Amino acid sequence: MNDLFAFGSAGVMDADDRYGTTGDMKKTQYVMQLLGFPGNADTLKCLLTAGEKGIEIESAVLDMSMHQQDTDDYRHISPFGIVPALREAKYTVAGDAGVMCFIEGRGLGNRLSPRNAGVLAEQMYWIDIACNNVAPQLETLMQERVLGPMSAADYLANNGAVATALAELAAPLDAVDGQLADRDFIVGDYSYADIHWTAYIHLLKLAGEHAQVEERPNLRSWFSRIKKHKSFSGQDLVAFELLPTLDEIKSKKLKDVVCGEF
Amino acid sequence: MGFFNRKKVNKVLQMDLAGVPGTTQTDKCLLMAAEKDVVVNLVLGGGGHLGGSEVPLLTEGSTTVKGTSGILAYLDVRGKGGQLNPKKAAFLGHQNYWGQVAIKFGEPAVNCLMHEIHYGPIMDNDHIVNVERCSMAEQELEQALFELDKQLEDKSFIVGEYSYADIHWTTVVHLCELLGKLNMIIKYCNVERWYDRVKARSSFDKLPTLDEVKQQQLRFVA
Repeated sequence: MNDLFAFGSAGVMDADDRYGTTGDMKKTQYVMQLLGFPGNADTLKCLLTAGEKGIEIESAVLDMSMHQQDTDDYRHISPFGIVPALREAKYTVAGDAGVMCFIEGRGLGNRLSPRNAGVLAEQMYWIDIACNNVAPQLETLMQERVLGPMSAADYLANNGAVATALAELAAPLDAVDGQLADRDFIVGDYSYADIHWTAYIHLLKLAGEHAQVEERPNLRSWFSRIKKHKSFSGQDLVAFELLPTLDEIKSKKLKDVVCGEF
Repeated sequence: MGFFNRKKVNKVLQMDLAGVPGTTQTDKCLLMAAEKDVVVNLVLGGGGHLGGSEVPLLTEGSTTVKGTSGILAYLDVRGKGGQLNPKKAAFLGHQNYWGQVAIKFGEPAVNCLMHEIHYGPIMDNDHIVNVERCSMAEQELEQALFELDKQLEDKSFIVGEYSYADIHWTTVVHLCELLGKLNMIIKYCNVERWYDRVKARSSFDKLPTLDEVKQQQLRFVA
């Protein structure tokens, strides 16, 4: 069995089972390791959360275009093949829900979830819309336009599936555009809802559907704000810059999260 | 009474929940409400659709909450006692992981079996059980229970203390019981012991019986 987390500086423990060759901890706490894929929205959500919360991450690619999430090596880490997976020392967790809240719990600054019950529920609702109504269509678009051609030069896109996905996307995109009519962020203040939607909208644009965003003025304005949004924890970092370009997805490159000064 | 002597009024919260008992989405809300001492008036019927599925709707005064995850979070904050989320990041991460496993693997499987075995015949006199679908659903459940059993080794609840993860899985295993699939549960001794513990909690009494599920479904369809 190969240990897929045997990479980077965090992969080497010293004689006392501490991080790094000297056992030094960085001022931003432990360096975590993330196994994910640049074309996977859930991986991007975790990178965004780490950037917002000032947590450094060393990333490695789990090649989902070649179904590496179904290999025995990965299933040893995540038995259901849920992506991404994160490790800190002896602790491992998989899936965006688990990884994001672990990063937040270990990170800096205020909590991302609203305290008010009604606003918290609203955040969860918009996350549900993103995950249930947008994610499946995004996966289709990414598969047909990006990942499929990556795995086979003669890949033929299923235009019917693409058309269906775009038709299904209209309602949730209209809904979030309406929600953003009088708000800077989805539930007022920046929250987990913005992180989820940022990942999906970014991939939507990389899949060639810029018009879906440009034609919705509130969504367009929100995305412009997101692209300049400084780290929630006060780090000198814009989390959006951690997201991959289309070329980086095609060359299977995932960025590390390096936190600078405040 | 002085300004600094005000005490929090200990009143019982009452809310309306529109949902379909015998589905994991609604049953989780009933369970959380009971855990948090919130009285819910159950109104039969869904709150709308989310991703193609019927979802519950909670109302408290002028506040409306749609969808299971929003309702669970709302009840947890508004209800009595501390929040069910673990404070330690490591346990919180695993709680959310096991919640995601329940939602992605356990619930679709058990909801599929409920549809094929109980709801289908109620809604359609000519319903024929899709044996292949049921078989695939049972295989998914087996894998999920196998992994859950390992997680529950040396633990009272899924991440140690009672949490959202237990709420998610209680409804899955409860529906297995309503389906007459207890044999799937008792194969896994840690899961069986855990289920005995959650059944001993007073909140478990708020989950519907099979007769109640069938009667509610008849009324929902009518």
